[in-house]
Amino acid sequence: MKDMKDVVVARSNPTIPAEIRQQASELILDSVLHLDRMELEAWIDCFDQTSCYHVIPRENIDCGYPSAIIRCDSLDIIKDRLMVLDVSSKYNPHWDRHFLNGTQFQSYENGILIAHTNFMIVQSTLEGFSKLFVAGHYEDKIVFTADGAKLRERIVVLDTFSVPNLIAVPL
Amino acid sequence: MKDFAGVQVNWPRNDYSRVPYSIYHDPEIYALEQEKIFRGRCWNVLCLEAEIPNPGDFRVCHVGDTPVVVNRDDDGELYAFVNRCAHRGAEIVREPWGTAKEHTCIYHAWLYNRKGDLKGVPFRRGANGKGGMPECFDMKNHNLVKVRVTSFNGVIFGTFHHDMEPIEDYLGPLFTKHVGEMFNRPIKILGYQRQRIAANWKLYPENIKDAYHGSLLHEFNRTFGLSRLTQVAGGYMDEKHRHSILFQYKGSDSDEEALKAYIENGVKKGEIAGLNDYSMVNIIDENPFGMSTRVMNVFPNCFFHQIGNTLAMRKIRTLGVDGFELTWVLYTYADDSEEMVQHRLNQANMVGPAGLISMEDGEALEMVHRTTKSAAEDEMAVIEMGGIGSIGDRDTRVNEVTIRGFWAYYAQLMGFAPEGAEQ
Ligand code: FES
Ligand SMILES: [Fe+2]
Repeated sequence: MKDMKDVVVARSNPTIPAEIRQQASELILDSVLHLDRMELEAWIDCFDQTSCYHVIPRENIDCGYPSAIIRCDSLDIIKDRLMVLDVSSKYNPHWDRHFLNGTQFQSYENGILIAHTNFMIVQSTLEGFSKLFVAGHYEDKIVFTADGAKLRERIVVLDTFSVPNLIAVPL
Repeated sequence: MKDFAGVQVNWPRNDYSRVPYSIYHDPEIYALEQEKIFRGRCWNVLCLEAEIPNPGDFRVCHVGDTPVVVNRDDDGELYAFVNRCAHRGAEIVREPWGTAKEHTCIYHAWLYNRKGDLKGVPFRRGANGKGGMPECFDMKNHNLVKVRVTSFNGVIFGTFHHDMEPIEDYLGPLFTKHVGEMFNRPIKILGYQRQRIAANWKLYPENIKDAYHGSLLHEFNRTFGLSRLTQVAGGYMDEKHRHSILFQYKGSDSDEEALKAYIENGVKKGEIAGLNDYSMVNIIDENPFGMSTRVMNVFPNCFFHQIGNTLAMRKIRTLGVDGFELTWVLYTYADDSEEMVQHRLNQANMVGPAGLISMEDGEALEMVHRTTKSAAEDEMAVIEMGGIGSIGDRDTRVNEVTIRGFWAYYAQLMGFAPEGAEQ
C-alpha cells in the first residue's frame, strides 16, 4: 500500500548542517532509551516548554479523522498523563525495547528541524516472553535551545492501530 | 449440519449467580455462538451512516467472525452482504473502506453490484465455442449472502434473519430513548480507536455491565469523581434483560464523603491527587437526563458511551475463542462549536486502549481469560453483588445484577438455559 502521506525526500538532507543532524539523532535516541528504562522524568526533559505529544492511528490520518489515542496538547497534560500512570493506572507489567532506523531529516527552517524516524517496540513479559508490540513512525519537530535539542512536537503515527491490549507507557 | 446437541453448560443456580469458567474457553460453545447469536436472531451493529455518507461508500464490518460489506447505493439506500464470493469463496472487497461503483472478485473477476447481486461472469459462454458455464447456470441464483440492514438514527444494524422484529422493538423503550438521544441530530466522525484483547468476547459485555468495578479498577474515575460507588447511579435493563445501561451523576457525592467510604472499605490509596490541567475532567452539561456518564450494551456486539463529553459507539468482532477486537467510533455533533470539538478530542484521552479510565479493562479481561483457562469444570465466577434471585434494575453501582441479565438472555438464545431459570 502506498503511504498516502509519503513525500519524496532524500534519506539525509545534505543542506542541513551535520551538527544539527547529530544533535537531533542523539535526542531521538535518548528519548526512546529513557522510555525503555522507565525514566519518565528524563523523557519529559526531552520536550521543550511548549510541546505536544500525540499518538494517532494511521487509519485516522488516512480517513481524515482528527482523533488520537493519546492527545497531549501541552507539557502540563503530558505530565498529568505520567502522574496518572504512576498513581492510578493498572497495566500489564512488562519491559519495552524500541528499535529505530535512521532518521529522515525533512527540512530545517527558522530553527525548526523536521525529522521522521521509524520505530518498532518489542515488549517482553516478566516471564521472559517477547513479541512485537507496535510499529510506526515518529514525526518530530525539534528546536535547538540553550539546553540543547528539544522536542517541540512528537506525533507518533501508529501502523499497529489495532493495539495489542493497551498502551500505558508512552511510545 | 454440525450437531450441537452435545453442548451442555452446567449452571448450578438458575439465577446465573454462578458462571462456569469453561464457558469462555469451549470451542464448541464458540461455534454455537456464531450460529445462535451472531448469525442468530439478533440485531448486530455494523457501523454508523456517517462513516459511509456518499453513494458508493463502503466499509467492511464484522458480525461475529463473518465479514460483511456495508455500502450505500446511488439512491442513498444502505445494503450489506457477506464478503465471500459466490463462486469459490474468495474475499471480494479487500480494503477496509473506500468508494466503489461495483465489487469485483480478483480471483476470477465475478462482478457484483452494491446490493450483492451477481452481474458478471467472465467467459460464461466459453471461448471459441468451448468451455463456459452450463446452460442451466442462472446468475440470479448466485447472489451474495444478503444481510438485512436498518438504520436507527444513523446507527446501522444488520441481521441474517430477514424477519427480525423492527429495531425499535428490539431496543425497547429505554434504549430507544437513550440511543435515540445520543444520535438525535447529525454527527461527524472524530475517528477510531481499536484494540485487540486476548480474552473471550463475552468478558466484554460482562465488563460493560459490571457497575462494581468502575471505580475500583479505574482509580482515575474515583480520584476525579467521574464515577464512584458513593454516587447516585443505576444499572437498568430492557424487559428481556439483554441490553443494559449503567449511569451515574457526577457531583452527587462529595470528595470527603467518597474518600471516607473508600478508606472504610480498605481501598483508599493516598490523598486525592491533583492535575496540572483540569480541562479533561471538566464536564460540560449536555445530557438532558443530567447523567455525567452512561454506558450501554445493546446485545450482542454493540455498545454506546457518553463519558463526560466523549461520545462513542463501540463494537466487538470475535477473533476465535481467545480474542476479540474492540473498535471505538468517536463522534461529535455536526452543529458543535469548534471549541466543543476540541474538548471532545481532549476528553478522548480517557477512553480507548490508552484511556485513563479504560486501559485497565483490557488487562483485567486478559487476566481473567488467562487464569480461567486451567480451571476445573466445577470452578465458577460468583456474581452476587446487588443480590441474587430475580433479575432486575438497581439504583446503585454496587451491583452486578446486569451481568446476570446478560447470561439469562444468552443462555436462552443458546438453548441451554437451566430448568426454571430466571429470565
Ligand atoms: S472465487 Fe471469486 S470469482 Fe472465483
Ligand atoms: Fe471498565
